[in-house]
Amino acid sequence: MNPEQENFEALRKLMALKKHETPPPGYFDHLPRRISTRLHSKEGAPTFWESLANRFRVSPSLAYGFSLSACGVLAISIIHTARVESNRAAAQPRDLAVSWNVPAPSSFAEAVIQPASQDLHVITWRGDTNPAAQAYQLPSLFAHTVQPATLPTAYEASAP
Amino acid sequence: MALVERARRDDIAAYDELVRRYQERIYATVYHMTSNHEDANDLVQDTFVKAYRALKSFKGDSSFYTWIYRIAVNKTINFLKQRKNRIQMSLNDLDFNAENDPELVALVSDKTPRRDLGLSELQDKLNNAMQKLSEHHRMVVTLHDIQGLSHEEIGEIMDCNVGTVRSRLFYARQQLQALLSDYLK
Repeated sequence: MNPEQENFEALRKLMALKKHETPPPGYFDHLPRRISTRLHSKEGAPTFWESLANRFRVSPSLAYGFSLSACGVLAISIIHTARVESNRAAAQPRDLAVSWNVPAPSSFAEAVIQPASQDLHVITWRGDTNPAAQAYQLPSLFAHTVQPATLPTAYEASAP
Repeated sequence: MALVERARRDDIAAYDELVRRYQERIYATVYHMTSNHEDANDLVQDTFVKAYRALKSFKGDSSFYTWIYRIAVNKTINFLKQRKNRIQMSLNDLDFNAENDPELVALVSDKTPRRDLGLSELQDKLNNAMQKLSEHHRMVVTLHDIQGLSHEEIGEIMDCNVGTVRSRLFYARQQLQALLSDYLK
């Protein structure tokens, strides 16, 4: 045995003293009851989120699958949105050119009676925000007086 | 394993049996790490309560014994990191057998400075030296030299390889040897 091992042997003997350190008498008789009391009191019971985390801890493959599918859904939605945007961008210049070249309607009735709702929307927007555009001249409710073509017969008969 | 299965199904009586089976070993580990009975008592209770709550996540790929040891070790190391600068020893008494242990009797009746010491004073010096080790080194010494666990078991409990366990053990022993040199001549 070399001196180093011999020294460690002496240390081992000294460490044996630690094995003789024992808790107060009866300690191990009462410990299970204390633990049981704490368990019955629901102390340290997991919250909803802890339970959820534990569930994933039980099955890491489930957690990986869930995160993978979430990433997939996110990627698909990004690609789909990008595709829709690019289609819209490709279609937009023509619409804009048409809408900006559309002459301002001369009357409210003309503005309202537009065949395409998108054009109607553009015109409405243009009329609202474009300071260069002419303001619509709304027809007056009192501009036309109603002239009945004939008077009621009863009225004629009873007229003086 | 049947007890563990029953405990997993919220059978507290089965868990009580598991507590009785492992309490002494868990207590000893935590106590030798903290050198304080009250702290050890709290940590052992916390360990068993936490283990019960986490039983559903116990997959059974290691033994229940290793699994609960791991909980105790992690709890104790976290606790020791928090109390870093307020070490207060509250040592247990030595049992009756200590005075009859021939090796220990030889330790206190030799010709070295320890001849003037009683066993309890030697116990005090030893615990002081233990507290000077880092948590991981102290844990390896506790599990191997006091508890008698194998390097492989310690590696599994401390989540490190056997080489790391061996090197930590060697370094910890060297440190203890230097700290207790007066009592090891």
